[in-house]
Amino acid sequence: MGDTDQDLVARVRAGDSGAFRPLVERHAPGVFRLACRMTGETDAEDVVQETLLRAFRQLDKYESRSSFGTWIHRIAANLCFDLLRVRARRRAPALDDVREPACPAPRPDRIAIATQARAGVLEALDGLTVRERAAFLLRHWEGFGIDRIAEVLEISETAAKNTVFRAVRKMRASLAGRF
Amino acid sequence: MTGHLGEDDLILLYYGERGAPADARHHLRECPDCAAEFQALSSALDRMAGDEVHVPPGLSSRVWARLQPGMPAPRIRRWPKPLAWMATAAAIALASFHLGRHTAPEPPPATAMETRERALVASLGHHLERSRMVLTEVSNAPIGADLSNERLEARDLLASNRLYRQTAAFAGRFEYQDLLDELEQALLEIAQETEPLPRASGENLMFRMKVIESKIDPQEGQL
Repeated sequence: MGDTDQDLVARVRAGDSGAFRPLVERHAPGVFRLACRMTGETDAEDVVQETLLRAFRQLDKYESRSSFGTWIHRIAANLCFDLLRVRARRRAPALDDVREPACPAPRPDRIAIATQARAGVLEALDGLTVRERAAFLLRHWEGFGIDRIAEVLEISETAAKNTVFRAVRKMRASLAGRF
Repeated sequence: MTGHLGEDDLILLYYGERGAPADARHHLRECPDCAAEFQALSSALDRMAGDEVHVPPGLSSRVWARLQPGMPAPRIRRWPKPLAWMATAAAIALASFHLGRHTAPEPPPATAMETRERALVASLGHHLERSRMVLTEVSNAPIGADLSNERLEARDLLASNRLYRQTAAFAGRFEYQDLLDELEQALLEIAQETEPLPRASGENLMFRMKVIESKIDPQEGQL
């Protein structure tokens, strides 16, 4: 059985920076999916890169009371929010009002293979605020529990739960005519 | 239970979360209306689950390949406290002194000014990188975030920054002196919990720090 995240973190902290590689392999895909759905495909890999760089540099701040995966996703989510905030500065609405196109971007090759249902999902995601989208995709696609979502978004569990509820209601309403 | 299950309860049941009424599952078996509503919700959410993001092949390898070469050691190892630096510098000086006594004289020794300047350049890179990290974290922190660690770090950096600035002034390295002046102000603002520096000027400062860092060869301690 391989090392746990906690074992690897301990080794990196002890100076074995190579032990960070398995952590990259385990968590880069999940962070990519989050970033892709949050910010779009173009910036997703940069978000992954920056997330893991920050995680490595701030490893002394990581407290093992939350899982390493949750902590990594929190860094990624904050980066996504920052990126969306910068993009939204032109329009200057509050963060909760910000809406950005969901990933994947509608490239011609993707459009060609996209099913009608998939296109509907992307459109419905576009109707969520960034926090709702983050909460929904962590719950729905990444299988995060409400407690972990609250940790990632740095909000209370009640707020996380309500955010998921709102997101589901909006998604259903948006997809009502399609499904 | 009395009445029907609400949509929030059904969402909790669908995701297997805690918080739904204790007998909600039993109610679903008994109540056709709620069962139908739960079926509709499940069907809609199940269909959404099919929308997968395809992770590009080789993502982890690419990320690791870009991380590895410039991979700094974690902060706890890479950024020794000034006292540790001073101890290291003293040990090196002592070793140099002993070596000097037992080996033939090589090229003429550096002047005190040159030695001071080399020492400044050799350790300035670490100082700037550490400072840049604090500025980045503060400027990226969400509103209301706990910045107590960053404030402690800024206070720690302030003392070293003053020494570096004085050394730079003494060595006539005015480009460093100006940068360190500006950095000192930013660190002071963070340490004193006043308004953080405006984003534009913070980004400009960080960019200048990055430029100076990029010119420093840590092996040689020379520009």
